[in-house]
Amino acid sequence: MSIREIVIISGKGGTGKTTLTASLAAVAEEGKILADADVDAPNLALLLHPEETFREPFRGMSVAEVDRARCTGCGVCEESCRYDAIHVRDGKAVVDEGFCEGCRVCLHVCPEQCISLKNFERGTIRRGDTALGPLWHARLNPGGENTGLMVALLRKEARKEAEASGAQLILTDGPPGIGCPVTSSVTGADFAVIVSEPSRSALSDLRRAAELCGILSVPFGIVVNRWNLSEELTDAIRTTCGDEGWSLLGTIPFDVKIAEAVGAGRIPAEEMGGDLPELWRSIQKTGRLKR
Amino acid sequence: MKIAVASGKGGTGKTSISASLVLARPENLALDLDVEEPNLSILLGAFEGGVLPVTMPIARIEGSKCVECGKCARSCVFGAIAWMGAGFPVINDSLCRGCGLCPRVCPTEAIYEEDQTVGEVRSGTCGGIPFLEGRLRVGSVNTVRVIEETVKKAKAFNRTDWLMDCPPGTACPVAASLRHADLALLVTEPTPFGRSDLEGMLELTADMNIPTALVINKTGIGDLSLDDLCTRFGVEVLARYPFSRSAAECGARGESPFKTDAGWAEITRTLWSRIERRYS
Repeated sequence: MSIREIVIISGKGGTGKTTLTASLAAVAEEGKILADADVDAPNLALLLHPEETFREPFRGMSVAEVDRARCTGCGVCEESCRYDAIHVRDGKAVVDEGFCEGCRVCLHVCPEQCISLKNFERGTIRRGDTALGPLWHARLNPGGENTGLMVALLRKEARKEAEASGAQLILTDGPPGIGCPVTSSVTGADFAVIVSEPSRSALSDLRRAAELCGILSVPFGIVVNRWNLSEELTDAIRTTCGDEGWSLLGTIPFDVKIAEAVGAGRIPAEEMGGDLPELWRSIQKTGRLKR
Repeated sequence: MKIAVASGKGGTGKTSISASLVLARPENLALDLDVEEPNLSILLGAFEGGVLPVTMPIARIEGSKCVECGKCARSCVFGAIAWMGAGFPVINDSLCRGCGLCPRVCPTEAIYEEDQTVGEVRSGTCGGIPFLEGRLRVGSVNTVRVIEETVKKAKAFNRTDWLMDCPPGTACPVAASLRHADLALLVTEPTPFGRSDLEGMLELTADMNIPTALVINKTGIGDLSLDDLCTRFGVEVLARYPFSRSAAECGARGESPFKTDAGWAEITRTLWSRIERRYS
């Protein structure tokens, strides 16, 4: 039995990715590994309450370091840097570590050869046991680069553990947007669930997320969360799905009880009622059909 | 003053509150820096203006000049140049970050750079308000490049007051936006998720040494206290917007609650007067 990896994304932030990921984990009966790929705003642990079993610093790419004693402040490095990550201040070159990609251009151009690369800790990778299965999660240091690399590493760990333990499912809580960490979360996954909500902003973002899945050749389906906040816009999403040939997997209502459960750090599986197991069946069915 | 509206967690109301602040002070230049999902224009009204492409250099190899030495492949830290030990190296476009190292190490000038479009900047007015928006091309991962190009274009507008709607998260895209701010206005919600991501944002603005203040949105839908974070980071709450179903519905239709909800508009005006009193 091969491992199926399902990633939950949204385009727009705050549509309910994390809440849905945890709730699906609560109804999916197969052995599973969970992963939180929203590494710069990770929240899945707040619903799953893992007991930590492993923690390791994440180094990512190295960054440039200037030997201040030898730097003449000539500014050649600043002119050559494409990432605006090195500047001459008070006569010496200073590296902005959050922006440095470690590409080595400054090392190459420096006439004094006074720049080198150093290791740079960009965050922490963690594993914990939860009632629903092992959780791999991470925390990027604020302002950090390399989110894509960090996500790739998390997914690799989750897959390794799934292979070793015989788990059949990897459920990944993805980041918002369509950039680096999203591309890294979706590439090579078996199926993407795009969580939308009935608003013009979310519909615009849904189109971009769906286009990205298309570019990455990952099959996807759509969930409309809080559908009853605007029946008119839910209908608009439904029509768009029909026109574009996208699978509408199901809907979840807005209910204060769901918000209250999440507020108390609890998975709102019960509050979502019968819609939830039905949604999970729909994800499984569509995911299998589209493989 | 240049104000950055940021949040950490997505969906806390950055764009709604940015739009309201701009509508209350239309002399501000409105900047949508959430280039992966730009939505500010939806709330501001019809866009009039032009679209400029954002490009980034990408490496190319001229076969006739290449001596097949492999120096370019060995120098690339992104692993974007494949070389099998003989023959021409091959560049993988999606991994090339346009750093410009390989043209410099090539002994025969066989590598040149070609511009590739990674996004666009829309520049003009939105509902009559001066407006700029960055928009990442779907499939590109060069978020920061599009943000920087948008800011560069904004500088040419010669306006002293900016209102920047920033990307979610706490990673490089939001840091790239905050670099240009005199004040970070962090929009959060009183829930465990909102609180956790706010903490990351407060660490970031403290690291970057940017004056910071809070706006708590959707009060009533959660009631988690943020007081200890305010004390620890020395920040003040400048406004609290209660959760209101009608404001949410109005935002969903693409209308700013500033225009339709008197209570919301009043909170926004008070927020402005507090910002002006304390930070200008």
